[in-house]
Amino acid sequence: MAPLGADATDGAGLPSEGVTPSDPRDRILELAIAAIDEGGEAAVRISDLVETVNVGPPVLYRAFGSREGLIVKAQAERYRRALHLGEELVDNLASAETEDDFRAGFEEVLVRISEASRIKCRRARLHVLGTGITRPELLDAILAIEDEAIDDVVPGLERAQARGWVRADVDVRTWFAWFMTTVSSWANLELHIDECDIDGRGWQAIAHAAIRDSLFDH
Amino acid sequence: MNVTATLSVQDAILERAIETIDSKGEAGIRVRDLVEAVGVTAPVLYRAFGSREGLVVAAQTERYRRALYLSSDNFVDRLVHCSSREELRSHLEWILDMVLDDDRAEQRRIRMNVIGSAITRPQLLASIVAAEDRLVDELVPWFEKFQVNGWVRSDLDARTWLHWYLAMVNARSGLEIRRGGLDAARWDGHTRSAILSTLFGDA
Repeated sequence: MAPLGADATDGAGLPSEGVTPSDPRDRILELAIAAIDEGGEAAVRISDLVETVNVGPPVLYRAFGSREGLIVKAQAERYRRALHLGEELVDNLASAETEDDFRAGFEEVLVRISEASRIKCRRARLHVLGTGITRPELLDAILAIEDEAIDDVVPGLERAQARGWVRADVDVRTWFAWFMTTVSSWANLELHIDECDIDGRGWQAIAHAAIRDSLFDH
Repeated sequence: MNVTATLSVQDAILERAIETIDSKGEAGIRVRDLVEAVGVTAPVLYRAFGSREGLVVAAQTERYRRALYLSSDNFVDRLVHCSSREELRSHLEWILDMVLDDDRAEQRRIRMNVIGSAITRPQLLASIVAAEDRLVDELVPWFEKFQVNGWVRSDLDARTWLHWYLAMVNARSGLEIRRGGLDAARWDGHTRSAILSTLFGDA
C-alpha cells in the first residue's frame, strides 16, 4: 500500500478533513482513523466503511486481514501522526552551527509542544499506547514509530553533545525517549485541568525548566 | 447499585471480571461465562451493572483505582511526621526509589491500559478522573502545609503538581514496554530530578 503522505495531516499532526486519498485501501484507513477519532474503536464498522468507499468487503479483508488488523493499522497511523513534530524543527536542531542556535531551536520545540493544538495529539497518543499495551502487533508498531523518531533526532543531539552544548553525562537516546514519554504524560494532567487554565497556573514554565535542566548544564 | 443483588454477589461478579480482564483483556468478558462462574443468572448481572459495558466500566475503574493507590501508597505515612525540609526531601527520595522500581511495572501497565481505553469512553474516563481527583484531594492538605512551612515552592499549584507527579511516575511505563535498548538508571535519574527540582526549586 502506498504510504500516506504528510500532507494528509493538519498542523497538529492529526488527519485533516477533506483530504481524500485515491487508493480505496488508503480511503478505508482514513475513514477508520476518523471513526476512532470520533467514537473510539467501537465506531469502526466494516459495513459502513466498505459502503462509503464503494468496495466489497473482500477488498478490505485482503488489505487488512480482519477488522482487528484494520484497527491496528489505523491506531498505529494515529500514533505516528500525533507524534509528528515537524521535520523543520528536527532539522534546526541537527544543523545548528552555534550553541545559541541550538538552544533557540530547542526552545522552539518547547513552544511548539506546549501549544493548545498539541493537547489533542497527546490525548491520541495516550489512547493508542493504552490500548496497544495488550496487543503485541500494535505495541510493536508503536515502538517502531518511536524508534524512527529517536533515530531522526539523536544524531543532532549527539552532535550538540560532542560540541559541549548538551550535558556530557546524558545518554541522548534514553533522554529523548524519556522526553517523548514525559511530554506524552502531560495528557494525564490535562484530563484534570481545563486546557485554558494549565498555563495560568504557571505550569508550562515549571515543566519546561525541568526538561531544560535534564539536558543542559546551564 | 441494585438492591436486589447482594453486595457479596456484586463483588464476586466484579472480582471475576477484573480477573478476566487481567488475563484476557476486555474481549474476554463474556456475561454467560461470568455468571456461570459466580453461580448466578444473567439478569442478576444486568440488574447490578446495567449492561456488559457497565460491568466493564466498573471493573476497569476498580483495576485503575487499585493500581493508582499502589503507585502512591506510603506518601502520607512517610511524610506526615516530617519536621524539616531536609527530612521531607529524604522521605520523598525514598518514596521515589520505591514507586519507580521494576516491581511496580504491572501497576503502571494497568493504569496505562485502562486510561488509554478510557479516552474515547466518557463514562469510564469520568470515573478514572474522579478516582485520581479523590487521591489528590487527600494529598493536597499535606502539600499546602509543606508550602506554608516554606519547604517546597510556594508558586506551585498543589493540585496541578500532584497530578503531574502521578503522571511522571506512570510515565516509566514508556521504558518498561521496551525490551532493552535504553538506560533505565538514567531514565529514572531524569524523572527523579524533574520531580525534586520542580518541588524544591533546585536543579
